[in-house]
Amino acid sequence: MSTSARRRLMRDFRRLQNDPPSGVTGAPMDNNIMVWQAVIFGPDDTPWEGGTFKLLLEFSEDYPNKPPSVRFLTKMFHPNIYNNGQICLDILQNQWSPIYDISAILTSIQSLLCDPNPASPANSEASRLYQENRREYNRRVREIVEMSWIDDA
Amino acid sequence: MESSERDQEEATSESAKKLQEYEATVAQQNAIQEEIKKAQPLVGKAVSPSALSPEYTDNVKPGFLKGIEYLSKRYARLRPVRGDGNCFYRALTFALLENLVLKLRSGDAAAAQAAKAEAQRLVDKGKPMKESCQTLLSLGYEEVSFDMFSAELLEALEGIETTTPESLEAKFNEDGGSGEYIMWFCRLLTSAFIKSHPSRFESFLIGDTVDTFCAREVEPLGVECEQLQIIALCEQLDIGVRIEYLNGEDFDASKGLDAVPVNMDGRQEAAAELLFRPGHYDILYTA
Repeated sequence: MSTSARRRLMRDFRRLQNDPPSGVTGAPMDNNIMVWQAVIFGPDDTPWEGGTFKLLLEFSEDYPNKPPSVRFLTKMFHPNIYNNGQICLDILQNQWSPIYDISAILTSIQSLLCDPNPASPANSEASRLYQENRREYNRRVREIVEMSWIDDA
Repeated sequence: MESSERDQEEATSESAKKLQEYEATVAQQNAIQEEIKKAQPLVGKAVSPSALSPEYTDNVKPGFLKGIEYLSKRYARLRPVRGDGNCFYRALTFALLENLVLKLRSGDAAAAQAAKAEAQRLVDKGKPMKESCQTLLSLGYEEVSFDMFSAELLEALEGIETTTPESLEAKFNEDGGSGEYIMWFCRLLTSAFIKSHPSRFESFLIGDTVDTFCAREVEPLGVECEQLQIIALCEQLDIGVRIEYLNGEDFDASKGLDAVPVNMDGRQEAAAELLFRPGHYDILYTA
């Protein structure tokens, strides 16, 4: 089996440490470079501000020819995030390209938080509220933010 | 209160349904990809072009069988390439490298010399590889995101004299292996050309910038290419190709199909001869 996936992941890790994008962190779990835990901080001046959202990234030996499987461990309320934490994001699916490293994946998810894509709803309630009742939507997001502080699974 | 709870419940079950649908779609896509993977090698063994006939015996368009008959006379062999959306890039890179290998081993000193020079040109002068990497960096690509891929192409070109047709075939048939890296790097080279010549391409991109076009139609693995990408890649590598179009349309058998030259101005020889059928590319050999 090729070790190029592991080599690339080591380099992604080094890059994430040396040149960390703001508002995201990530690291491989206990001696397993193929499984990562990451945290995305809710961007300031948005309803997501102050939230700490945990994610799990699982890589296969096909990385970076295939995207990792990525899901939130923290409970989320967002038009493009399924109830089980899976994310509906083009670059993790049909627009995946080996050009995206872990930094790019995490920053893309971070910008998805405040910039949902109503065209591909994964959570219909969040999607509806986002479009029809932004006030209520923001309130529900604030609830999730507060839960993210306790929810230390 | 009760009704809002019911609303929430309904919303939850609707979301659960969405997730199920999504998972079913992903599972189906994966199953199709697996099926293709099992049925077709990345780069198959060369066969006679007439081997395509059974696929078209019941086709209502007259041009297919007639075209295959023509191709069988014009070309000695056809090499099928896996139809996973990457076939053009794979067919082109394999044929380009294989042509160099075959010339180097042909026993014809002049041809071998020319092939050596061509490999050297691709590596350094004209510097498509190295220059291309500079272009990518200047366009804002991170070196870490492509250098593993460019290294494979450089290595293949630098090691061309010790490469055999068999070892090249093996290299390209490893799933996720070196050939796949080379194929993907060619996608990036295609992007590099399009992005560094926006004025030439923008008028063909309806509602897209060169950046959004490349992110959606060039860089993702498995996305099929069109004429625009073919021209861009050929120009970036400074090579020419010839493509036969077998699309089922009737044609004058005495004239044959029209092999379409791409970037062939001022060139005698194509770096690759390819066959297009709707949605797919394979490699052709005159000898």
